[in-house]
Parts: sequence; C-alpha cells; structure tokens
Amino acid sequence: MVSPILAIVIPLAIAFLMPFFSALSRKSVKWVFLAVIAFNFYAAIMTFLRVLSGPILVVTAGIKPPFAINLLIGPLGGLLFLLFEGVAFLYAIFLLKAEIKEPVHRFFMLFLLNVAGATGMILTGDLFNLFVFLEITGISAYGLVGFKRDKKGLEGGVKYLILGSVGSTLFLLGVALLYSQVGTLNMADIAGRIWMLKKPTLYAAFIMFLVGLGVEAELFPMNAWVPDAYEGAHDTVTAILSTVLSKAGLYALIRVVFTVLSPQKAFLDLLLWAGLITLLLAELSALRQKNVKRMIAYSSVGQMGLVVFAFGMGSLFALQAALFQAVNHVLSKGVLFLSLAIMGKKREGLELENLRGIGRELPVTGLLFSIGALSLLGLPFLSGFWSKISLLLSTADLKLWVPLGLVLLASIIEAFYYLRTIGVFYTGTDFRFRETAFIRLLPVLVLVFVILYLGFRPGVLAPYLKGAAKELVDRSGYIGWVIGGLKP
Amino acid sequence: MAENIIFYGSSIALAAIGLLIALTRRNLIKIIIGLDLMETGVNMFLISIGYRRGGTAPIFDIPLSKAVDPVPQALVLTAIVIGVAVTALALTFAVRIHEKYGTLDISKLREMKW
Amino acid sequence: MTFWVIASYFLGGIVAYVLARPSRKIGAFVALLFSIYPLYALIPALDGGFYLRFTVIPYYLHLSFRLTLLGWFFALIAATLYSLSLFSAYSEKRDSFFLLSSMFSAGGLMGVFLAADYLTLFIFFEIMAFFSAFTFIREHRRSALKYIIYSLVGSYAFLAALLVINRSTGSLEITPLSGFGGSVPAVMSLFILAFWVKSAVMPFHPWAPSAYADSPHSYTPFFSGALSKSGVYGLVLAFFYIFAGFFKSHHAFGYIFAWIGALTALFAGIYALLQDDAKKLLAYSSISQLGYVAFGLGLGTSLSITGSLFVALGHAVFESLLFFVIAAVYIRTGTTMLTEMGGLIKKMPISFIALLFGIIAAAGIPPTVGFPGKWMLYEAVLEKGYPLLAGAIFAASITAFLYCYRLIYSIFLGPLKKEFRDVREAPFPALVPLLLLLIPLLFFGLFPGYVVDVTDSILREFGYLGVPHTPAKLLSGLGTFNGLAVGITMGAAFVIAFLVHAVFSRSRKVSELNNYTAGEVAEGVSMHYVADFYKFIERELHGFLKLRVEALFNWIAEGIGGLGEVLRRVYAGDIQAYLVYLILFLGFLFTLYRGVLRW
Repeated sequence: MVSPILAIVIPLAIAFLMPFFSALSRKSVKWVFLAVIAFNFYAAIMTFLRVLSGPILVVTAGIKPPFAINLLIGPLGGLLFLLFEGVAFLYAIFLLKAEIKEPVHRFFMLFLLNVAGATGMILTGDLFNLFVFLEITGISAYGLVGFKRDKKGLEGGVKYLILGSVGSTLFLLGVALLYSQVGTLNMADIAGRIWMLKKPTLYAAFIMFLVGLGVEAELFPMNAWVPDAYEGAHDTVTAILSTVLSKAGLYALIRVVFTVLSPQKAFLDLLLWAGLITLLLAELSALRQKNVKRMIAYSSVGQMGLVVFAFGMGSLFALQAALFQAVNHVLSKGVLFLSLAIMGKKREGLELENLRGIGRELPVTGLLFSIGALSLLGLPFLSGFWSKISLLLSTADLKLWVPLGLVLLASIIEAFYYLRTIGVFYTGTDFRFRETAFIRLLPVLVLVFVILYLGFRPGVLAPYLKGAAKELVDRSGYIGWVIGGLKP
Repeated sequence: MAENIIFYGSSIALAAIGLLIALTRRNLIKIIIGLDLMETGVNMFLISIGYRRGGTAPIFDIPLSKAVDPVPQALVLTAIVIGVAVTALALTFAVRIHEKYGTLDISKLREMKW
Repeated sequence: MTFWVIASYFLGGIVAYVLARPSRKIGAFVALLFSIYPLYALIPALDGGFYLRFTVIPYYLHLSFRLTLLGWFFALIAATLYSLSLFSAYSEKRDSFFLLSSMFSAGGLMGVFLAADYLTLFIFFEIMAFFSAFTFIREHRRSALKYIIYSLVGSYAFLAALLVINRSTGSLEITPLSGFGGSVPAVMSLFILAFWVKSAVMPFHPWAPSAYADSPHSYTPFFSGALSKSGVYGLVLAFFYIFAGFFKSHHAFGYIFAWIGALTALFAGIYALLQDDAKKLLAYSSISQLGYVAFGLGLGTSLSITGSLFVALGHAVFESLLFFVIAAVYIRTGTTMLTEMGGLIKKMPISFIALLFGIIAAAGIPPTVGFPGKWMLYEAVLEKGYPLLAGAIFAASITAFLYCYRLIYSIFLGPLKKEFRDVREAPFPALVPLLLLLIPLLFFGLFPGYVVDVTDSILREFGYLGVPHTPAKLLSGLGTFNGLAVGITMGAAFVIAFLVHAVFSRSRKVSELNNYTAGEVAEGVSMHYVADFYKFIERELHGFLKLRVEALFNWIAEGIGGLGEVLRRVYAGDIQAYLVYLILFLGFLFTLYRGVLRW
C-alpha cells in the first residue's frame, strides 16, 4: 500500500537531487523525471481505489489531528489526485521528445516541484500547509514560465510572479485572521468551530481567500496575468498551468469556501457572478484574438469562470456538473495545448494565419485538436457536451434564467472562434504530410480517447462526481472524518 | 486584545505601504521591495496575533499561560523562508529582464497585451 | 430497428471515411450502400409507429426514439434524397472527410425526425448542424461559419426552451404542453426559433443563400431539400402538437406567421430574380418555397396544413432535382454562373429535360408535384377569406415563373459559348438522381391522393379533419382538382401540338449565328442577354432592396466583436494595472460587505 504522502515527498526529494542526476548522466534526467511522475500516477491510482471504500486520513508526526498536520483524501481529493497525476504523467511522456532550453535538469526540477506542490494542495488538511504548497506551486510555476528566458517568457513570468505573490500574501493574511479567532489551522477543526468566528472576521477572511486564491483560480479581475503568462511560457508549461495549476487553485478556493468557511448565500452569489463575468469577458476577449495560443488561454480563463459559476450555484447537481466541467476542461485543454505545441514546431509563430493548412500537414494532430475543441464547445457525444448540458440543467433547476442566457451566449462566441480556427487549419490543399513522432502524439491520443469514452459513457464518472460533490456539501461529514471518527 | 491593536495597525500599515510601493513605482527592484514589505507586514501581523503581554518564549518548563503562542512564530519562520525564495526568484527575473530589455522599467514590459 | 436507421449513417460514415482514403469512388459506393439500408427499413413502416427507448447515459439523461407518422414522412424524404445525392458525390469524387461529415449530418437529421424527447432532438439537431457545416467549412469558411452561428443561435434558444419545459413539467418527452401558465408565448418563441432558422424563413434566412451556394454541389440538394425539412418538422410539431392549445386559441399568432410566410415567399422570389449564381437563385427559390410552407402552417386549417406538407414534399423533389441538374452541369462546365453558360440544350439533353420538368414543378404548374400543394394553399386562403394574404401569395407565384424562365433560358437556351463546344452529357451516376426524381415529380402530380392519404393520417393524429380525396382527385370547399384528368388533358394537348409541329412544320435547321446575328460573325460579343435580364426590377426596387435584415444581424455580430475588442483592453499588459484591478476588487468587496464588516 502506497501512502499518498509519498506522492508529495518523493517528487520534492528527487527535485533537489536533480543536479546530482544531471552530473551523473545528462540523459538520465528526463527518465528519472518520468519515473517519479509514473510513481505518482501509481500512487494516485492506488489512493483513488482505496478512497472508493472510504476516505483516507494520513497523520504526520504521529500525533492525531487537529494537533498535527494531516492529509485527508476524500472522494474529491481522490478524483483530483488521479486527474492531476494522470495528466502530469501524459505531459511527462510528451516532454521526452520536447525541445527544452538548457539547463534541462532545472526545468525538470521545477516541473517536479510544481507537481508536488499541486498534489500537496489537494491532499493537505491544514490551512497553513495549503499556503506553503500554494507557494511551492507558485514559485516553481513562475520559474517555469520564465524558463525560456526570452522576452515574452520573462515578461509573462514576472507578471505572474508579482500578482501571484500579492495573492498568496493576501491568502496568508486570511489564514492569520482565522487563526487569530479560532486558534487552530486544521481545516476540519476551523470548520467545526466556525461559530466562534465573528461575522466581520468571517467575511474579511472570505474576501482575502477569494482575492488571494482567485489569482490562481483565474477569476476576474485577478486573472490578468493568465493570457500573458500562457502565451509566454513553454508549451507544456502552458498545458500544466491551464490544467493542473488552475484546478489546484480552484480546489483551494472551493475547499476553503465550502468546507472551512461554510457556504453562505452571499459567498456563493459572489462566486456565481464573478464566474459569469470571468466567462463573458474572457470569451469576448478571445473573439478577435490573432494568436491561437493566447486565444486558447482566454478560453481557458472562460472555462474556469464557467466552473466557478457552477460552483456558485451550490446545489448538489450543480457541484457535480461543475466538477464534470472541470474534468472536461482538463482533458480538452490538455489536448489543445499539446497539439498546438506539435503544430508550433512546424511553423514560425502561433498566429492564426501562420497555421493555415496545418491540419492537412499534420492530419492526426489536426483531428485531435478539432476533437478537443469540439468537446469544449459541446458537440454531442463528446464528453464536454454532457458536462455542459448537466450544468445548464442545474442552472435551470435553480431558475437562473439570465445567467443561463449569458452562458449560452458565451458558448456561441466560443463556438465561433474555435470553429474559425479549425476552419483555417484545413484551408488550402498543397501541403505535404509530415506527421510528428508517435511518442509525442500518444499523450494527446490518450486524452482524446478519454474524451470519446466519456462522451459515450458519461455515466462511468457519475458516482465519483456525486461522492466528490457530497463531500463538499456535507461539512459535518468532513469534520467527522478528521476529528475523531477515522482511524489513520 | 486591545493592546495588540497598535501591532495590528502598524503591521497592516506596513503591508499597505508595501502594496502602495508596488503600485506606484515603475522600477522592478522597487516593486520587489514593495512586495517584500507587504510580506513583512503580514508576518508581523501573524506574530502579533500570538503576542501576549509579558509572555516569554514558549519553552517547556514555563507555564503555558505565561508563554506567547508558539504557532504563529513557526508559521512566520516558514513564511520568511518562502518570502526569501520569492524575492530571490524575483531578483533573478530582474537581472534577466535587464539583460533582455535593457531597462527595469516595468511599464516597458508590454510586449504582450490584449 | 430505429436504432439502425440512425446508426447506419454513422457507421457508414466511418467506414466510408476509411475506405475513401485509398479510393474515393469506393468510399462513395460504400456510403451509398449504408445509406440505402435506412431507406429499406423505413419504407414498410408506413402503418403505425413503434417505440424504442434505450438508455445510453445513466447520468440522469437518456435518449429515446419513436417513429411517428410525421417523422416517417420526412425521414423517408430525407433518406431518399441522401442516397440520391451520393450518386452525384460519386461523380464528383468527393473526399473521405466529405463522406464522413455528410453521412453524419444525414444521421443527425434522421435522429431529429425519430427523436421522442427534446434532448434527443437537440442532440441530433446539433450533430446535423455541425456536420453539415463541416462539409464545406474547408473551402468556404465564411459562409460555413455564418451558417453554424445562425444554427447555434437557434438551437441554443431551443435548448433554453427545453430547459424551461423540463423545469416546469419535469419531463423531456415530446408531449403536448397544457396548463403551462402565461409564459407559453415566450417559451414557444424560443422553441420554434431553431426550426425557423433551419427552414430559412425570413427574417432568419441570411445564412441560406451563401450556405446553399457554397456547399458541395452534390450535397446542396440534400441540404436544401431535406435538412430544411427538419425546420418544417419542428414547426409542425410545435404548432399542432406541443403548443397546439395555444396555437388554436390565439388566431393572431397564426395569422402573423402566415404573413411572415407569404412575405418570405414573395421577397425571396424577388431576390431570386436578381441572382447571377444559379445556386443562389435556387437558394432563394428554396427560401421562397419554404415561405409557402410557413404560410400554410400559419393559416392552420386542415387544407392549408395538408398543402404545406405537400409543398414540403414537392419542394424536396423539385428543388433538389434542380440542384442536381446544376451539380451535373457543373461537372462538365465548371461554373454555376448563369452569365457564363448558355445553349447547353444539345450538349446535355437529359439534364435539360430534367431541368424543364423541375422548373415546371417549381412554378407550380400541373400535372407536377408542385401544383397540388399550392392549389390547396390558395383554396385554403380563399376559404379563410384573407384577400390581402391571398394577393401576396399569388404575387409570389408570379416571381416563380420569372426566375424559372431565367434559369432554363440562361443555362440551356441561347447561343452556345465557345468554351463549351466539346461539352458532353454529365456522367451517368450524376444523371441517376435526375431520372429517379422525375418519377415522384410526375407521379405525385398525377395522383396527389396518395400523399394526402399520409397527411390525412398525420392530421388526424393532431386532431384535425382530413382533406376529402381519391387517388387522383382532391376536394376543397371551393372546388376540386383532378391531377390525372389535368395530366391527361395536358398530355393530349402536348401530343397534339407535337403532331401539328411534326406534320405542318416548315422549319429549317440553321446555325446559331444565323439565329442571333443574321449570319454576321460577331466575335467576342455576347449574344446571351441574361446578364441584366431583370435589371429593371432591380432598378425599380432599388431603395427597397437596400433594406436587408442581414445588415441588422451583421450589426449585432459586429457589435459583439467590437465590444470584445474594447473589453479586452482590460488585459492591458501592464502589471501595475493588473494590481490596480486587484486592489479595486478588494475595495469593491469591502464596500459590498460594508454592512457586515462594521466592527
């Protein structure tokens, strides 16, 4: 039995051993990296299977919570854990053949730190620990964005850094506020004593958390760094930022709002409208975007807005739909950014007109990109359709007709620019077939396979989504797992 | 609690000053200093939460009522370490940006927009 | 079995996609085989429907299908047209992706006609819209995008309606809505928008001319003849089944809709006169015909609904026949521009005959399939006693004569262009649909009663009386129409005229030059007077034609784009601006919660 804590410890340890491996053999680095991520994936599968029979509590330092830091993996954590490590594993395969700027071992070091940090964020049961992992994830992400050390990379990196560190400082302030009144940092413990909080503190803490974590969760108006950093970063880095990192930030926000602070109507309404505004603004900004990567970055922001909007509705169905949408966003954005990375190797620049006819030149990649995009905009029998339709059904259940209309409007805008892109990819005829190496296509193929599989059997995901959503709704259950009830 | 107000006030003020610097200065180094100040302010805030008038260091043989709260201190130690890492990375960025752009003026960094 | 009617297209699409990679002709042939199965399965299912329900999605959603008589009527039309269009595609050597997307769009269309619940209807409607756009998104991105966006606006409106219905009734099954409260008009408007757009009735028609003109020539007959029927299907379903209670009690709604239909028929007819692209001309003609359909549905009497369904069938037959002729002509000439053609009658006689019958039907002349439907519509409007409406619809039929004449004249008559001297008749597969479509064109014109048998059963399902008829004879309150008698009379007249011509004719064959320039050789001067054929109409209506509803939609689209252009400046690229947003948001939140935050 693999303890989930190893999925944090081992990448952290190996990350700092990377220079050593590099000195040993420069080629070994990427294989070590792959091995570590593969181990993480294995640990995630094992944990996921264990979580099916009940949540796991991991106690550190041999002291029971709430007096020591604990990890708690419930259905939600298990699902995200599996998703993160699975996607990271695919990226690791993709990176085997990628061109990375020297020194390569530092890149992989940062990547490992990033994965470890994101994993830590979703597994930990301690608020300050969450802050530490947030910072680890953040710092490694700033480094990864700036890793190319060209103008765009540096610019994106420094923008991300400044906003990110302000955000995490605010988050720390929120933690301090809570601690000052409750006297504990354990999330379940705080949740159990939330009645001790005076209302102003509760609201002030919520504001700090929303703004602080909103930076990572890509909520407007804290998301301005996103397009710049995404455009500047290395392709695979963009992929992991958009899929894993944003979801980790979102998880933190949702966990804090739903479990720790108790989901007040005021908080949820704010999430709902913030999500909706994020969605609309991002889709409108993407509409006339010339650079495809930046366009997808905006679309990524928009999707995050949609997910937050769904969380803001707060009903059990809405939470399931939100989680489903988040899963789909990970799958689709993984496909889009990776296939775009493959295309970028063939052409100079990712401007739309540079990519004319790329779908004829790279037929498989073009097809995969198209499927990813179509899933995102909800073509039936791709997984994105089911999440969108269940999201809309839950919107209708709550009679939110105006938001419903706005979401549909955003979907039309999104459909327009994605279809335009796909259209340009297939314009022109005289292109030679020059498909890329299979090993680079493999991760994208796997993601597309999952999209198609879920498109025809969306039901397989339903019980897990339901469990995860229940974990968020049922606060006392969560408290009970940590305090007392569960044997470590 | 009341005696802590002055600590709370000054630490929040320090953080606000830091933020103000980050907002108004154009020089990247100064912005980094501003961010650092902001962090220091929050760290001070954490420390002052645990502060107890007349309390001493929390060592085992001292009665618990006389000691200050040890947890915030531990937190601040961690936060300082993290802050150092962020600052170091930020300064690295500053060096690289100066190499590429020939300036530290943050408003010149507008290659990517809209 | 219903399952395989739909699945055959999807399966066939994939198989054809794979097989068309090595050989396009094999791909098209295999696609044809797969498309014939649904036809075979549908034909015997005339009596009664059957119900099939299989759960694909345990995520509290499921798909269900049911074969209703109305669905069967349209599905059979669609299946026939699709199989025919593949003959043409075979001649055009369409590539694998075209086969895939056109097969998928046909499968989507089948799903629309067979859906038993709103969600299934929506899903297949989406599939149909997307994949029909994919057939030409590669060559004509702009018009494909235009088409898909209009479709999406419609289908998302429909989605909103189905969500409202699901919220208030707790069910997605397609059943009549009763006791729905005051929001019925709003829900119904949202509901029918999708079908309104798809049937290209004004004012939601602007996508149609460019989409019909730019779609692959072998696909357009199906596109215009069958895909638009999904719109008619939805409108019929909405007016006479789902919202029947509302529709029957609010005559004003039907009356307005009838006017919309009549004006569509009239104005689209006028626009058709002014087109130079044969496919655009036919596209407007198609819109005009669907205007008749909408007109009849709006009138809402047994006779007018029967008329509408008959026109829908007739439109499917003759409009796709005309488009097939254009496809056949294009294979040989490489153009669809009227001014670039001329005098092809001797080179492509079979196409000419087909086109001739096509335009006779389009103009609504007996004994073709185009007449009985229109006759019923005229009788219905006269019975109802709406003189203005009758005037509009009669005027519309005049435009049909005019554009039909122009079509046949400029392609087949007049002097032959030099570059087309060695043109041959179109390849046989491209002629198959022409010849096959002539059969229903004449048969249903002579024996309209066989169609009315079906429509009567449909009407009775909706609680309307049928139209009294025998196989050849239709009766209305005002008179009767006997297709067979008219046909025999006209046939006899034709034979007599032909005999007279053969016996007493003293004509002599001369060269074309003698005909047009009295023997003078005029090189480089076009004797073909089609270019400005209806210039005078354009001149007279100049001010009016400038008023285009398309401009309004474009303005909205531009507005959204411009809004995005302005709003994306929020992402100013300046990090300090980003920080300011963050601070402002903090400030906003503190202001928002100022009541709570007071210590």
